[in-house]
Parts: sequence; C-alpha cells; structure tokens
Amino acid sequence: MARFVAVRIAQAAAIVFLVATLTFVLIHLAPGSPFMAGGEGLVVPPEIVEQQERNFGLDQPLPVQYLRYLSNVVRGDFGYSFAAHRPVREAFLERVPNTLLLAGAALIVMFLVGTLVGALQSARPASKTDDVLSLVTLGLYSTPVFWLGLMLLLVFGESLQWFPVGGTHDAVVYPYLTALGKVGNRLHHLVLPAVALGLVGAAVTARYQRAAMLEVIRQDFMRTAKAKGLTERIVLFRHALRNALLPTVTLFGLAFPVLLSGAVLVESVFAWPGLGRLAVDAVHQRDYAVVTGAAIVTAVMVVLGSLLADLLYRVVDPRTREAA
Amino acid sequence: MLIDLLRASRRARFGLGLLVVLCVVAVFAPLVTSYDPSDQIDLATRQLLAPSLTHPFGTDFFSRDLLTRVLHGARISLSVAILSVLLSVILGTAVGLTAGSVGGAAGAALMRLVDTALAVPRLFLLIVVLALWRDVALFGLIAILGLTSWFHIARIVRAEVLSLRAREFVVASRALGLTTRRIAIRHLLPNLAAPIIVTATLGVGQIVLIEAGLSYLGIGVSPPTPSWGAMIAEGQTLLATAWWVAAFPGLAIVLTVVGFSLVGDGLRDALDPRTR
Repeated sequence: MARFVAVRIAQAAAIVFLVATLTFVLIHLAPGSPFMAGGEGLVVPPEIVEQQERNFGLDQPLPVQYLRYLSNVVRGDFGYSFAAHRPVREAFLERVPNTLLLAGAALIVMFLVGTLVGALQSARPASKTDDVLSLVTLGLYSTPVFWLGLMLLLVFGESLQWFPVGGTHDAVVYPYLTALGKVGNRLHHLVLPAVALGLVGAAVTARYQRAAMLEVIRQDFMRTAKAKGLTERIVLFRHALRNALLPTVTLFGLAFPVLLSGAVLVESVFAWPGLGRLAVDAVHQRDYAVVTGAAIVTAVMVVLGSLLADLLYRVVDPRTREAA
Repeated sequence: MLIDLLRASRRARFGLGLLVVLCVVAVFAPLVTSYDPSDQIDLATRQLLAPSLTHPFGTDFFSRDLLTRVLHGARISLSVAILSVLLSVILGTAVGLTAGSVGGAAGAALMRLVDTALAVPRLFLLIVVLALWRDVALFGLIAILGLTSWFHIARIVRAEVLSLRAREFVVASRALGLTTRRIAIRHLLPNLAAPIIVTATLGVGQIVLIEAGLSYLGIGVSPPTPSWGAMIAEGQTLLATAWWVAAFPGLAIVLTVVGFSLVGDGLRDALDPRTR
C-alpha cells in the first residue's frame, strides 16, 4: 500500500510539473510582448518596453526564465495581478474555498441523485419508468450547465422566489444573523448553483449506476438473496446497490475536472465569487498572471482529486489491494 | 451503415430525425423566416415582444426576431463544432495511432503528455489559450477548439490499437515483414473507423456545449454573429422581464446535443455488435 501511494504521489507531482511547463510554453508561444499590448493606436516607447522587460526578467535567456517560473510556482507564487493590484496568490486564497464548496456540494447532489435514479431504473429494466428516466438523464446530459442554472434561477429564484438569485450570502442581513443563521443563509444561497452543477453530472452517474446494477443483479448471490425470501427492496438496496457502488467510485476522480469546468459557468450565472469567475474576469482585463495561475491551481485540484479517488477505491474494494 | 443505424433503435431514428431537421433549417434558414438575423426591425415598438404568431420565439432587446437568430445560430454552432471535431479527429487519430504502433518508451511518453493536457479542465485550458490569443476570428476559434480536444480521442485510438496489435492478422502481417508504418495505415486504420466515427459523433455534441459555454462567457463567437451561447448571455440580464431571450437558444442547444448523443449511441450499437 505504501509503495502504491508513493508511486501515485510521484505521478501526480510529475503531471503538475508538466502542466506548469505547458502553461510556460503557451505563454511564450503567444504573440506579442506583455508590454506592447496597450490600447489601439497606443505606442509604447521602446526604451520603456526594454526597461520593463528587464524589471520582470524577460531579457534573460529562456531556460533561466523557465527555472525561475518553476521555482515561483512551486512556492505558490503566481505573480502579481495588475487588475486587482495585489499578488495573485491572495486572490486565489479568497476564491478557491468558494469554488471547492460549490464543487463539493455539487458532487453530493451528483452522487445522491445519480445513484438513486440509476438504482430505480435498474429495478425494472426496460419498463416505462426506466425509459422515461433514461430520456430525462439524456436530456440533462445534453443541457448546457449555465442554461440549466439560468432556468432554475428563472423558476425558483425570480418567479417562486424560494431561493436567492446570486452570491454566497446576503450581504445586508448577514452580519446580524446568529451563527446558525449564518450557516443557514449560506446554505440557502448554495442550493441552486449546487443543484444546477450537480444535476448534469448526476445524469452521467445514473447511466453508470444503472449499468453497474444490471451487472450485479445477474449474479448468483442475488438469486440466493431472493431465494432466502428477502424483500425486493432489501435485495436491491442492501445487496445490489452496495456492490454496484464500486464502479461509481471511479467516477469521482473523473467527475472532478468536469465539475470544475462547469463551476466556471455556474459561477457566472449565480455571481458566485469563485476561481472560475476570477479567471474569466481576468481574461477580459488581460490579467494574464491570474489566468495561467488559475489553470495550474485547477490542475492541482484535479490531480489531487484523482489521487484521492484512487486511494478511496482501494479502501472500498479490497480486491484491488491484493492485485498490486 | 446508415441502414444499420436506422434499424438499430427507435432512439437512433429519433436522433437522426432531429439532426436532419436541424441541418435542413440551418441550411435553408433564410427561406424559413422572412427576417434578417441582425435586422433591428423597430426599436420603438418591437423591442422584447413575447412569443406570438409573427415572432414565434419573441424578439430580443434590439427588436431582432429571435427565431431567425436561433436558426442562424444553428449554422454557426454546427459548422464550428463539425469543423473542430474534424480537426481533433485527425490529430487524435494520428497521435493515438503513432503511440500505439510505435509502442515502448516513446509511445508511453507521448501518452504521458496527453495525460498532462487532460489534467487541466478543458474550460480552463481554453480560457488560457483564448486569453493569450485574443480576439480570434471564427476560424481561429475552430482551430483552438480542435487543437484542444483531441486528447481523449488519442487515448481511445491508442487503446484500440493496442488490442488490435495482439490480433492474429496484425501478428501475421508483422511476421510477413511489413513495416510498422504500413501495418498502421493499411491494417490498423481501417479497423479503427468504427470507434472513431462514434467518438466523433458524440464529440460534436460536446463541442456544441463547449462553444456555447465560451460564447456565454464572452470569449467564444463574438457578437453580432448569432451564437446560441452569446444569445443566452444577452438573455441573462433580461431574465426577469423577457425569459424567452435566454430560453429558446438553450432549448436549441439541448435538442442538438440530444440528437448527436442518440445518433452516436445508435452508431455504437450498429457498428459494434458486441455491445448488443
């Protein structure tokens, strides 16, 4: 086990290193110099460009720049945000927890709804329920997550007014709430974005779960359980679901990058101050350090997520431990 | 192949029907509606009209006919998606086939690079590229989408090549002394057609979603070109007063992606008898 963990950590570190290299290459492949940008018709005097390039070490040979860049990234230094006038790291520390909260909540929605729908479908394969549910999941899978968010906002936010229309909490009343009220207020704001983000993933989970259940249901121990006279519900949820959850656990690692991509869009719909919105705003403000830093940080999150999923899988499935 | 698909299932027929209708209205958009997609008909009296007989999808903030814009949006979305998938299929097949046929350390190294690219969530990778190469025209966007979405195709192709390499006909052709390149092109490639076609079909739907997302964020297809994602972004600010501006382009996206998913699944069943 220890050896497996060590190997996986080394692999994860190698991927992060390569991602940092990839962003460095992309930055240097891009046309123009950062100091030439300006506005239309704005000419920057060459001596100023030269001086700025010296200030930022851009006059150094590429290998030197590369090593400096890597050592900065390793120390968690992603440079300076010109638009916000502060280090990129500060902005990240503020935004990453919000994104993780949103993605985490969406992950819960995704697995709860997904496994439940998949289990329901597999109970009566090819029945009306199964057909309708698989059509619904196909529809959800094909729905742009930001549009789903907007439609939820339209129905449950604007029309029914059950949920707030954006933000992480209500800035006006928040300071006057009790500790419990504060948590409640934040949860209330979290519901719609998490459901929007989670439902699209739930469709994929349901498809996986349905297939896994059908696989398990065919096996001998299921027939034994039924023969013992156990009720269908117990057989389905105690025996089948437990075993069918295994393949779904692998989805956890795969779901994380998709959720983070989706979070970028959902954050824009619900004015959620997360990493994705920060990156998109930075694109419009030409704040490159934020954009490239965000890509590296999300890659780290993805790699950690899949590492976690691998370890989790070995915990829940003892067979994989012997094989290694 | 088409007949197999039609025979495959009711769902595949439905999907194919959706796509045919979509392509027909996209191609003949100017004949279907009598308005121009960028014509601001009458800002004073036709602004944000609710759906009616004269404007089945209503009008937008600039009094443009929404149905016309959704139909013309289909042209943009479909051509962007199909062309970029074509590019990514060519790249992915080339890399996957090379990595699979060469094998050994070189092949493994190539796949490590692919894994790296896959570790960055797709939207973030696109945001980085679109931030650095700003204000790209439509063809630039197609190139960027194609260049950033071939990674998983390479994985699928390589996995397929590795399993084919163990089959007798490949072993036999190697025993006959054929070069690796000849085996790859003459013997492996034809057998890869089925998985590649399925992946490409499903990929078009995914790229439609991604292009819509980018355009929604304001970094994809730029206005006034009618794009479904950008239209939804316009509708977002009007959500409380004019729901139809955001609603209809979104429905168009859902129907398109459903169509490609159904046809893709149908093709998989039709081309690969093992899954039946």
